[in-house]
Amino acid sequence: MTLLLTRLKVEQVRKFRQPFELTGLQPGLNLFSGDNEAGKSTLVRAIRAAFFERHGTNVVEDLRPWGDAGATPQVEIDFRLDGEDGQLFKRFLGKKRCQLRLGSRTLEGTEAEDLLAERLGYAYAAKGASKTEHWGIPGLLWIEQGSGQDIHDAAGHAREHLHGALQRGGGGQGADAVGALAASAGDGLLARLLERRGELLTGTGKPRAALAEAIERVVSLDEQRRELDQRIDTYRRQVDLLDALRRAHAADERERPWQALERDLVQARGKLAALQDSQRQLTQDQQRHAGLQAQVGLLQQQIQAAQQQADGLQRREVEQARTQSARETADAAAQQARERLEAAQALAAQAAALSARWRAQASRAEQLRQQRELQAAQSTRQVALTQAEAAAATLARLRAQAGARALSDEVVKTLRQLDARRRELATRRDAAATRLALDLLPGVTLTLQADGVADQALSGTSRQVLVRPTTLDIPGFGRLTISPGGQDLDELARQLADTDGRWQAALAQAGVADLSGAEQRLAQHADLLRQIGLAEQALALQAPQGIDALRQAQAEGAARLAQVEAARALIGDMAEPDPSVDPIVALAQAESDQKAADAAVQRAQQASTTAGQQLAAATTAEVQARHERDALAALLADPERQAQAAKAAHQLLEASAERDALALRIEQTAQALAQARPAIVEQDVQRLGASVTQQTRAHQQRREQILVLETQLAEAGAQGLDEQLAHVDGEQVRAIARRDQLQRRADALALLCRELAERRAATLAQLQGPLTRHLQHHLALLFPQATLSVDARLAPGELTRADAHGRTETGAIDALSFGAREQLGLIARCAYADLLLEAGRPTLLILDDALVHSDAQRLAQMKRVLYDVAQRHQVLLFTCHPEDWRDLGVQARPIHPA
Amino acid sequence: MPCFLHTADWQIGRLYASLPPENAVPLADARIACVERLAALAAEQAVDAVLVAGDVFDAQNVSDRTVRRLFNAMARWTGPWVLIPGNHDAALAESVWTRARRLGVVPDHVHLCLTPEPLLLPDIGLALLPAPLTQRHTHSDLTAWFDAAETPAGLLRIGLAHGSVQGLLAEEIDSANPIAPDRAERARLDYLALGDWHGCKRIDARTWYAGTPEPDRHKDNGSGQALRVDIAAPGAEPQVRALATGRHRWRAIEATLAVPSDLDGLLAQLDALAADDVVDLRVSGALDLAAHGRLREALARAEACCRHLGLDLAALRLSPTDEDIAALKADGYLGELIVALRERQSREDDPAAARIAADALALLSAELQDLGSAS
Repeated sequence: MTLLLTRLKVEQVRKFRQPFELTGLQPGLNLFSGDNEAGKSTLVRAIRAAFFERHGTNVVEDLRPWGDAGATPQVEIDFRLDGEDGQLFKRFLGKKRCQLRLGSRTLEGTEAEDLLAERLGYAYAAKGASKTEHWGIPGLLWIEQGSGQDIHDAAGHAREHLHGALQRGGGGQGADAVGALAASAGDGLLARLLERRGELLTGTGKPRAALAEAIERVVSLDEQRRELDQRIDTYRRQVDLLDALRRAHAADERERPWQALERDLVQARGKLAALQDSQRQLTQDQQRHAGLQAQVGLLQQQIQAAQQQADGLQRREVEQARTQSARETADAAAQQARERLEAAQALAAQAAALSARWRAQASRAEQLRQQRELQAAQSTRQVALTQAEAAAATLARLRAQAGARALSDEVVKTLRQLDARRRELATRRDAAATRLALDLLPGVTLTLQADGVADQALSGTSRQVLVRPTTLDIPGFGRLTISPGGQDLDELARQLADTDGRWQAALAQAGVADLSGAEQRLAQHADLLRQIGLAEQALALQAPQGIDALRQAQAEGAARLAQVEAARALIGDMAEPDPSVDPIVALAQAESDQKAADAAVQRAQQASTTAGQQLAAATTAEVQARHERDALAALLADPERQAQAAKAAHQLLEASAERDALALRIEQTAQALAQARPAIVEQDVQRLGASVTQQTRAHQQRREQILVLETQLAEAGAQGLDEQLAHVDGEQVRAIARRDQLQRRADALALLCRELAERRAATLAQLQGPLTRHLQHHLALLFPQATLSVDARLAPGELTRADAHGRTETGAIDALSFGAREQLGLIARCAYADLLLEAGRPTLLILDDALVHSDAQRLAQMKRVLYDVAQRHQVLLFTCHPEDWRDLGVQARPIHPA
Repeated sequence: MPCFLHTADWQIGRLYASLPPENAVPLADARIACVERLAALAAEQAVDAVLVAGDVFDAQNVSDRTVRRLFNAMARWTGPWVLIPGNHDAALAESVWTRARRLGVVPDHVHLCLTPEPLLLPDIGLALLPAPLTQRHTHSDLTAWFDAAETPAGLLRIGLAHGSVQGLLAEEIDSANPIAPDRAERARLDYLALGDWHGCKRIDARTWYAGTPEPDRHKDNGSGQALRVDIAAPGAEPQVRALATGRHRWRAIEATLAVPSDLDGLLAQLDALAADDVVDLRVSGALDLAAHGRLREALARAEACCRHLGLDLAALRLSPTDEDIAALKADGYLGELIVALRERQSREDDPAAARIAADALALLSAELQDLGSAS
């Protein structure tokens, strides 16, 4: 506890226009309470201004009370620093002054300010108002209202001091203050080296950018080189091939190996031709041999046939004798059969005569019977015919009458209707007509004239009904015209005339004069019809099939009768048969006898025919046998034939001899051919021919190949492959050099970055050790089991603690709630204070309205922290909630401006 | 008295592609420029012929342009040039030579000896026996036929071959393309002009390697010359004189810096470098920060003034002194790290880690110096 404020006095500072003094500030905790606007923050500001602002500055206008532009804010602080009592007096804006008494020394102005700054660990702004980055240790430990959570910047600004404290304090372990400085320089260097490393390597150490390109270039050149090598190799092999081909070609030109082959080929072809001739000869011989063989066969057959003919003559002599004998036998048999036939025929003729006689008798009896029956039937039919013809005549007459009287019921009915209509119309006309009654003197005659009516001479008394205009000529008087006036009169007259017309027409059609005539005729006609029915019945009785059928039957019967009579007449008069003999029975006997005689004749006939046929056959055989014998005998006796036989025998001998000779030759030739193997010789020809072709073609091809190669090589030569290769080689050497240089640089950079990072981390860990220890001391009060890491800037890094489920969780404190951040911020500051204290640096904690965002439980924990810290450091705590801090064991001192 | 120039291993078309193009292109061009100088030299020396003992081209597949440029360069001298192919430009079935002929760029006075048969140049009294390589590598002695080759009396018998003389250069050169060491004697040659060995080398009085006329290696072996050979008459001993033809000086500088004055010596060397120097510099040892700064400056100066400066500082360690560290204001853990790196870079049991530590230390120092100068 090397810095201890003991008294604070302010005057003309904001709320405190009048002097305000806090005395008796204690080591450890000092609690000040006041409502909002009571001036708590003003006091804090006054302390800061006294230390951080140059007394000569003009940028502290905010210290003046409101509306008091002439005020000269002044602050007076009594303190104890490293065992010496001191007092700082500062007056701003007007009569500016700074005075520091420390122990026995008194310093004024900037000298005093610089001394304090060095001892307390802060700096002044070169120009203008002092800012947080100048505040150093106090900036870290004097927490302004609402900034308790903002620890990183404050820690950053105090970093040198913290480093110093760490080096000087318990954690140093042999390192010195300069080491800490080097580490900070090292950060810049490391960043730079990392940047350089990043130009060549990725984060994971893989080549990139220039290095990757250099490596790729080497690979690509390798490939180019390989390709060129290959092309050059191909080129060289082609050159060698060309050389070989040229030599081979020259050798061929010299030796011409195909010529020997050609000679062999000619020889083989000759041999083959000879063999083919031989083969042809053999074939011809074989054909000739076959011909001879056939000739021999024919000759042998000829000779044999001649022999057979000679043998045949004798056979034919015998045959001729035999057939002659057979013919004679048949001749006798035929004669005998003919005689038997004649006898049988005689017997048959007798039987036939008897049979005929009896048949005639029987026939005549039958004809007589038929004649009688026919005559009877004729007479019956004649009667019926006569009666039927009479009935038919009657019927015809009746029908003629009926036809003349024919009048249909319909016509009569029409007539009746027309008559009735006519009468009705006449009645209606008369009713409507003008009646003219005349009673003329005798002798007076009037002439009545009307259209369409004949003039009528009237005399005496008459009644006239006038239906149309009528002129009455009265002689001597003139003319009287009467026009009937009934309305329908004309129409009625017309209808009446029409009906009258029809009536007259109907009467004319019916051929009657009036209706009664018609009625009479209708009755007459009906009577005639009845009579016709009776006549028809009478006719049907006589001639049911009609009169014509009856007439035909009668004619037929007459014809039949005439026929029978003619037949009987034909038979004529015959001896009257023996009445004791029934002609029918006799006829049957006679017919039976005749049939037997006929059968005998037939049998004899057959036998005779057979004998005749046998005779004919025997005769033919005899004739043929004789002919054959005669012909053969003649043939055999022919001298030419004998000469031919002799010739054939001779020919046979010759042909056999030639054939045998040929057979021998064939055998020899075939054997020779088989030994010479013509198929093989033919193969030789083919083989040698192909070889010659192949050799000459190969020679030709080689020449072409040489030309092609020459062209290719000339082309390839012009490409300067060796130059290209040399070029690629050089490129490769340079590319490898560059790759190696870059790789070495990358290796070196990687090594430097790694080593620097490791060493820096080790140094940091060394530095962080004591701070971590202090942090942990306080943290355990808030979060038991939790740990808080310290980052490279010596600020709290990550918090590791158990969550609600007992799992470990780690996170940056920035992610925590505002309240928790404020709590951790305060804990960190307490740790810094402890650390600085260990290093003998002045520590003073000022908390302006701290921890207002903490809940009751956390606040309770934090109060334990504060109480603990207050055991080692002076703590000034300003609050507007004094009730929250009752359990800190100190009395809250109220603040209010006078 | 016939005299001729003997040269070889022109290696036209060589690219030096591993150098940055701004240095590689002039060096490649220098090889053709050198042929121009040879032509000029031939004229100046009034020789009867120029013999080129193989490896005229660096590769078969050089570009057509390169082929044309070579023959253009040779056009400066119209006397007889006699060329044989070497292992780089062997007379294969298809080769740079067939291409040159196809391009029609070979003038009549340039004799390409692509087959092993005598080339008689009676006008100048020479009978040339060439041993051209017709394969890339042979393991038989192509000069063997020289022994039995007949040449007209009165003409000098000059052999022309490309390969390694057996028993003398075995360790240095591929054993392919062998040449009997006593070939000149056995084949009764007046002179055997050899190529393949890039340095100038006398095998015996009649057998010489001319070396490449324009140096191309950091090896001080007498390259950059051509030989003028004078032979009084057949059988007479040749008079051989080396004439400078090269332009660029190829130098390898190795410096080990142990004490502060070592650096002074190196810096003096660097400051002495000239425009045609092609330098391969390897520095090892340790330097404090101040010395390192001086070296860096000197290197920047040297790089600007010479043709090419190849650097290998892999074996050079930065070793800040305690004063350096104090001056860097590197204290605390930073200081600890520098001390640790300083120790680690000297570890011999883990060279890779030591190298990284050295690099890291250099980097860190540079960064701190930057920071210091910035603040």
